[in-house]
Amino acid sequence: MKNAMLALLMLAALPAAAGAEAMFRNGPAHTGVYATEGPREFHRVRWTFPTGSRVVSSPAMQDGVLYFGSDDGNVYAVAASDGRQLWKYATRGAVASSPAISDGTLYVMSFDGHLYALSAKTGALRWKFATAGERHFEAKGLHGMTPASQTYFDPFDLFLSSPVVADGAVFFGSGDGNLYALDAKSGELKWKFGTGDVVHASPAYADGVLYFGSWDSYFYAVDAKTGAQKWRFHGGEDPMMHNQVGFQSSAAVANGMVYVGCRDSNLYALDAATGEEKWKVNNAGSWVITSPAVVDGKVVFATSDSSLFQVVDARTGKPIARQDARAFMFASPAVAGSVVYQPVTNGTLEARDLATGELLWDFRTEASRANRGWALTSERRFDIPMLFRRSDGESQIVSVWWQWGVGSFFSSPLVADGRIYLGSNDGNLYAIE
Amino acid sequence: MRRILLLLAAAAVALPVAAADPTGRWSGAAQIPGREVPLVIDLAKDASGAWTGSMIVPGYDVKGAPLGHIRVEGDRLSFDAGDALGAAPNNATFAGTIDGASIRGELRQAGNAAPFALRLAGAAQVDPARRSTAVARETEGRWIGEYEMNGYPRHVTVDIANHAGAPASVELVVVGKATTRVPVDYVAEAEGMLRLESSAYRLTFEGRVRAAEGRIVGTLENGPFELPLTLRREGKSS
Repeated sequence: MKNAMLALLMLAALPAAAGAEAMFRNGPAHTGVYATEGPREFHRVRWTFPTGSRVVSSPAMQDGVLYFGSDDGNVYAVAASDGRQLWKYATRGAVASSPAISDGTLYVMSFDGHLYALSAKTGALRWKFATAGERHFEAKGLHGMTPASQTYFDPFDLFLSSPVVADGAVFFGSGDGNLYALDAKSGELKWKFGTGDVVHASPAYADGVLYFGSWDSYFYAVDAKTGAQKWRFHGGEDPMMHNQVGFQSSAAVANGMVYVGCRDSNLYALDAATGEEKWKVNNAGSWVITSPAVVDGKVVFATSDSSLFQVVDARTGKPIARQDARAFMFASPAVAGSVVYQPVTNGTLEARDLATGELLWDFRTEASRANRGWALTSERRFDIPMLFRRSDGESQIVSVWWQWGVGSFFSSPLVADGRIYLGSNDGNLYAIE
Repeated sequence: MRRILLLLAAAAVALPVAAADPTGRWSGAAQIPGREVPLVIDLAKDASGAWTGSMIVPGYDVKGAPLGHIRVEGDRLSFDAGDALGAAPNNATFAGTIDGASIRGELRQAGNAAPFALRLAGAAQVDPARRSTAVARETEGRWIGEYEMNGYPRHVTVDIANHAGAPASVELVVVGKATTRVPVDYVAEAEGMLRLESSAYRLTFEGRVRAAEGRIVGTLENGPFELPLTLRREGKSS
């Protein structure tokens, strides 16, 4: 009973999905933890909300309303109870960013290069801010695509930076290489911080400091008031193929530590005050694009090519659980009580036990089950010989798009009221219970 | 017995065939060569009893496109997709047969034809048609401004007028090398933000009304271009 009371008190201390603010990873520290017990059994898909394109954006929820973007260019407000559309707002680019809602205003990035501030109630535009323009990460001979002298955009650079709201300001990264700080009410520029390449990670905020990585392979800590750099940390470099370089993962901050994945295949644990590396978990060439979840002394993350779902000790990085999820993971895990929800690019949402990593249940999209063109093997691994036949850039990029046709999940789940909400490459937002 | 049969036969001829009811959300796909096009069609009757509908095509950036010319005759259903998948005469048209919880038929677009099949997937969620609104009193009147495109200056005149019980009307004239009257088919003002759209010219103006300053500060979007444009109350210097 005492344990149950303690558990309830701990849950009460966690940020909830509903409240004054809602944003990516359920709060400015981006821990990905929800103050609710998520379903340990799959019952049904309660509803689906189809959009005109893939849903990479992760939903945010406030007062029973889900807010998310679609690559069809719209920002949506949908009733969580029945999936009814309340409003939509059209931008001029893919909304691959996750909204933040604060004081009745919704903030979200679009691939048209603007940060939008909309009324959360009606969707009316309050202001918009133009960056110097969005773009994907790009490099010559990227990932070994041929001819090597050609510059290719990165088809795996799917996400836009998701804004974080704190201290009356909204902070977000941009493809123009800057981290921006705007006045949350007026949209006036307070400061901007330049990096050497695309910033599509979402900044995490804790104790007046912003933590974020750039594709220039540096991870930065910046004073939220002034934009002054406090420290920076250098990740890996890959001058030949530009494959093992850059921070795409958004950091989580907890207990004076910053946890972040890197394309150099490491999960890093850095001292939040100094940037000193405390430990790292190397994944032998597999990107860590997922944003880690941090709960009860554990860090939960997942990898791309090695397809490993992992739980490690937050203090030491020692492994606690490691499970084969069979396909790449780009979407970030969400923790609700004793369950971790991990979306997979093979179109499967997995529910795993936090303590052991054991699979509790899974859900597959219709597109994953249909497995058109045999993108997947019968074991739900990507059927690489059927997908990737040639190394030239055009074929590789087309193959990646074909690969995602199985209803891949990139959106991070939101857990509330016994339901899981997340978007899919098939264009749907799902409500699963 | 013979009389009863005759009566039944007469009734079958005389009674109108009950129209099938396609109200609901229909989900499925069209099978165009080499590709499946997913479709979600919502159909319902509005308050006046007229059919209304909208369409979602995941992967084609089509969400809530209004359906036109919806006809239900017996078990036959037909409609078009407006300009969501191409403008007339190449626009998409659908014609099919309702059979309980399924509709099968043919999609035609740009001279091609392909079969489609839909299943009833739940209650209709017709996307509400966007409607123009009246504007604030201070927004009415004539506004002027200038912008530059491709090295040429353009002069803009906007006349905005409210009408009792109806949306505001807008006349937009752009004078560059030529004089262009741009048809505005959407005008709305909410929370002091004015939005004008011309679907024919793919042109949008969105700006904050600063009535006290006699200015509307915003941007003009035309196709891929986005340009700053500040409109001034006519007679007020910049």
